[in-house]
Order: sequence, then structure tokens, then C-alpha cells
Amino acid sequence: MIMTTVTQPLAIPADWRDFLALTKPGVMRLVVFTGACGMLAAPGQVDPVLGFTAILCIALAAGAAGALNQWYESDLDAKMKRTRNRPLPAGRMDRQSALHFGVGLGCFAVLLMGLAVNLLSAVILAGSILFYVLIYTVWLKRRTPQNIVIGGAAGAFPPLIGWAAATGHIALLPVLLFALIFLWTPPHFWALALFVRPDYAAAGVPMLPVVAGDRATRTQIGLYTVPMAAVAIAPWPLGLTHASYGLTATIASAFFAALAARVALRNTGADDRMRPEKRLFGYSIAYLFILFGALVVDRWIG
Amino acid sequence: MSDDVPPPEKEPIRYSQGHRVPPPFVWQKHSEEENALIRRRQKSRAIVTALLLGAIIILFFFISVAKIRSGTP
Repeated sequence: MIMTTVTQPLAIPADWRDFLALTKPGVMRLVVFTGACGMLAAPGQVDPVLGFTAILCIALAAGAAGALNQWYESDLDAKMKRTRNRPLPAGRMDRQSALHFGVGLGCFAVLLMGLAVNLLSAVILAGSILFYVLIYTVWLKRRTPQNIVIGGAAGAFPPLIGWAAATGHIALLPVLLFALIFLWTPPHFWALALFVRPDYAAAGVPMLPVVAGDRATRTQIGLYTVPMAAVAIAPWPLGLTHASYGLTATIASAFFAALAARVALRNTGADDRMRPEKRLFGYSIAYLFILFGALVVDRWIG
Repeated sequence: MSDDVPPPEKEPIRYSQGHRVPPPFVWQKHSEEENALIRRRQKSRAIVTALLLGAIIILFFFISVAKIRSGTP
């Protein structure tokens, strides 16, 4: 009798750098910065060790959310040029490892925040992970062009968490910082979506340029910039910050508005290199760094 | 549905070469190069894990000191 066998290759373990890549370190930088600024802008003194722990927990939670996002979206990532070299679509890691890593990291971050810092910041941290993974990644992203409008709240939590970690409560200023990132997210992501639209279309992600077209997206970028700039400047007239933040926010927002207006008012041809859109996307990242940096300087120097 | 219609016959699952049961399953052996790669990765992961655990222990120590100093639970 002839015996046949089925052979199955043993999986090669993923490199530790792939686990690091799973946490989206690029995105984490902005999350950590806004979280740290939220904490440093809060009144009172924070113990340096507990402050460091709070920032670490925010970073770990962002990494966990990024890992779970990549675990759920590995099929989409494989279809997009921008993301096809990530550990899961590139086949350098199995999906179960990514899931275990994301869940473990998220639980550790929330527990550490709750035990070392305070309960409120741990609850908001857990909420931010769940919002990003369940509301944005699982529910909204593949279903509606409003995905990043509502999902933008996930990225807006860090200053709120930083403030809560420092004070144990929530005030008007961190809520305004939350609103600022919430309103900043649509113009930021839609500027990106305009020049990577073929990628999103190939993956079947209903981003606004794919569903509603360029013209509608450009108009929306212009419209969202107005309340975003208003919220960015609002802490100054409300007496929550000094003139140094107010003037920085006004100038930085005016420059943002000028770039957004350029994107909103122009039409593109077939071989357009999308320079204004790329410029707006790049500046939008710098804009948050400038505003949050100015907020901390304003708090400590006045 | 009338009673004279016979129930559909269930076709047994047939595997390759006429097997009615799945053929024996064995893990494929890795080549020497793959084994070396696996060893390298296991070693680097073990080092990174050890460093992280060490860092966590130091962090926990300082958190405990900070908590005791501030008098918070």
C-alpha cells in the first residue's frame, strides 16, 4: 500500500522589529506628543515617574490599537501600495501573533495606567483603544466615507488622557484640545486620500475621494478647516491660555487655512503631481506639533 | 415534497489518490539556512524580551517609590 503524507511548513517566528512595526511608530510619535503636551499643560505638578508612566501607557495603548488595526485590516493592507510591506500582508508574521500581541499590549497599558496613575485616565485609555479598534476599524472604515470624521475621535483622546493623568479630572481646555484633533483629522486624512486615492479604490475602502469624488473632498477640506481653526484659537479668547499661544495658533491656523484654500479651490488634470495636497498633508502634521508645543510653552513661560 | 423522492446520496469526501480519510500529516523540516534564521530570531527576541522585562521591573520599583513618597494608594 502506498502511503502519502501532507507536509506543512513550520512557521518561522517573526522578527522583533516586525512587532515594533506593528505598533505604527510613526503615528505613535504624534499621539505621544499630544498626550505629553496635554499632561504638561495641566495645572499642578506631576511626579516625573508617574508622568513618564502615563506617557508610556499612552504609547503602549496606541501601539496596541495599531497592532489590532493591522491584524483586522491585513487583507486591505495587502491591496494598497502604501501598506503592502507591513509585517502581516508581507507574510513576515502570522495573524494570531499580531492579535495576541495587540490584546496583551493593550491590557498591560490599561492595567498599568489604572494601578500607577489613576482610574479616570485608565478608563479613557481603554475607551480610546476600543473606539479605534471597534468603532473605526471594524465598524466604520469599510462602510462609510464618514469613517475618518467619526473615527477621528480615536486620535483625539491623548491630550484628554494626559490631562486626566495629571489632574484626575477633565476641564474645558483638554476638551477643546480633543475637539481640535477631532476637527483636524478630516482635512489631514482627506489631503492624504486625494493623492493615494487609487490605493484606497483598489482596496475598496470608501474614502470620500473614492465615493464622492475630488471636488466634494476638496470642498469638505475647506469647510472643516474653518471650525478647526476656530477651536485652535478659542483657548486664547476664553482666557485659558496667554497671548503667546493665541498668536502662534492664529498664525499657524492662517497658514493652514491658506494651504487648505489652495487645495479646496483648485482642479486637477490627469498627470497632476498633487503638490498642494502633499504640502497640506505634511504641514497638517507640523501644525499639531506647533500648536501643542506652543500650549506647553505658554503654560510654563506665559 | 413527495415521499417517493429518495434523499440525496451523500458523497464521501475523497482526498487525492482515492483516500477516504485524510493522509497522514507531518511537519515539513526546515533547511539548514532556515534553522539558522529561526535560531537568530529566537535569540534576538529573547534578548529584547529580557531587556523589556528588566526595564518593567525597574519602572515598577520607581513607581512604588513615587507612590510611597506621595502617600497615594
